[in-house]
Amino acid sequence: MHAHDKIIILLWLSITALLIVSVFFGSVFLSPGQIIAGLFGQGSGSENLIVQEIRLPRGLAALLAGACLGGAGAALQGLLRNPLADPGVLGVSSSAALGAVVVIYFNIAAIGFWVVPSATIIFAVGATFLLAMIGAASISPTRLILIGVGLSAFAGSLISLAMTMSPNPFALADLINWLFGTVANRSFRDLTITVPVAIAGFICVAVIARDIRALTLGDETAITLGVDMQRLRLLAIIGTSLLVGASVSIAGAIGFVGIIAPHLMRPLVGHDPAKLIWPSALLGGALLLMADMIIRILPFDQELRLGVVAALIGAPGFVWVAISSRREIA
Amino acid sequence: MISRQTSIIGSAVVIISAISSANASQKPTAVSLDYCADQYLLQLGDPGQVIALSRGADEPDSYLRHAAKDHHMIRASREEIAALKPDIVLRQWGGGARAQSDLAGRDIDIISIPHAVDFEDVRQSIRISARALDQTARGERLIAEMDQRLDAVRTRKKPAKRAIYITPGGVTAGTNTMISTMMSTAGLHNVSSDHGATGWAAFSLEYLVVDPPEMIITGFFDTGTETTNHWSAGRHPQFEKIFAQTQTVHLPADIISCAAWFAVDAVEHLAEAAR
Repeated sequence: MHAHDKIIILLWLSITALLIVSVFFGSVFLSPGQIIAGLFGQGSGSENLIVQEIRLPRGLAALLAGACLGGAGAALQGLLRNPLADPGVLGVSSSAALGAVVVIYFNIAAIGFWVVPSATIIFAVGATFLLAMIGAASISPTRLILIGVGLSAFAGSLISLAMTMSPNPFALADLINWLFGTVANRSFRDLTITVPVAIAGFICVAVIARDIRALTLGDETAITLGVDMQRLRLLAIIGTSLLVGASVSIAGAIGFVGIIAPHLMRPLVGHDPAKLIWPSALLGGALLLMADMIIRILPFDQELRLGVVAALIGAPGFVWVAISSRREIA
Repeated sequence: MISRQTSIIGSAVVIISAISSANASQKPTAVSLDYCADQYLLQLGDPGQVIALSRGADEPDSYLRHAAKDHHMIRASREEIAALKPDIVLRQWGGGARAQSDLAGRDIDIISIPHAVDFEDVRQSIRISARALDQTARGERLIAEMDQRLDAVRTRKKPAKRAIYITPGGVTAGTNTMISTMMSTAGLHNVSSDHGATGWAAFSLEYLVVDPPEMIITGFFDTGTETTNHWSAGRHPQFEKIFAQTQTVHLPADIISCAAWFAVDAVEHLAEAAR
């Protein structure tokens, strides 16, 4: 068995263990016996509900959001050959959050529970099409990053505008959560919308994994090896957009997981971007699940936001990445 | 003879009106900077005393919105306030934390109405506003009327029902809030305070599942600008089940948007529902 496969298995085992441990944390105290009984549907009605319908989907939501971000980060760093590339770099994260803000602001969200997550995904895909229309599949990675920065700033300013004009404090709180991120109160109903989108995103990324490996040798060499550069860039953008859209729809905009997860995995699996995608996804899921468990444990009246905790952990890591990779950046 | 008497009475009415008008014109003029301060100004001031209200004064969650319609409405900006030259400015949060220092030195008294968490606070707020507007008697009448209605509710108080208050944002009212005071005055037991909630806190779905209330009180679901917060427990399917199975009392936004004398409307509403 290859070291890469061992790491994948180890990560799966860790994630499973973390998910089980995560159901032990919540606002109501339940004994280990009650939790285990609740996990298998053998507890009282309320114990089963708390474990199966409240804590388990919350943990799965954190896992999924982190996996989407980690996978998208690894794919983007391979595509752009830039160790500082992040799923937010193309402006898709902020565009997805803008989708949520628009339907909340104009009260379209009242139609049904599916409106807000659908809007985030539609806006993420819309941002991708915008990138495709302006030639993202054929332009250089540097220009793509610049366009992404512009798109991100534009979406961010529209979100700020909506917050400034917010009709009341409750709507403002809702809008703020899209920027800070959280998986509190997520349910299986939310996951039914997000999971198919995430699967579609992972399929896109899996299809291009080998081509991204060829890209490490440079555009010209990749082309001589038979890589269709336009197809590669288009699928990479669509795949990462779907992953980011899925993540934002279930957890809001969360930074740094997408950049940190690939960097933490690189010393273990090497610099091959094709081999980096799945371990980064699994590690991203584990990181966000751990961050959410920290939030559940902290004894504050108000829960900290997942994006805040992720950033508190990720920001120093980001600085470390920037310093340690200064030669590559230069 | 009759004609002469009518003439004398008519003259007297004119003179009294003139005196009254002169007195009214001597009362301080005022501007209010937020919709809570608007309520106090509209209720306690004469129409002639009201120079301007805040822009939230005629919104659906403003209790005296109909009375506000004919008045000038402004943003809480220094420029607009200075241009209107009021004698006093009434505010609770409008103008921000620096309002006092921003308006200092302009011969304008800044009257800050405290945030109320119980009816004693409301009495104090009424007295502060009434004194500033030179309407002390009117303020005392308002307090007396409020207390009379509160006494009427207390005398018919029934054994406490366990209740929880929620907003579309997934927020509940713990101890030390006016909502909690309203609930206890109406004979209800606030479940959120049992779980240690103080002030305004996110309500826990887990507590709701373990310890379901007998009554759910909702607020701010009627303003048309509210949707259930995407992140709140109020959106969870389990909450929807509990909601469907529990007695629900809806409080109109205009009677709970400010902790003022009209909180007694909400108390009566809750007491009626608790019976």
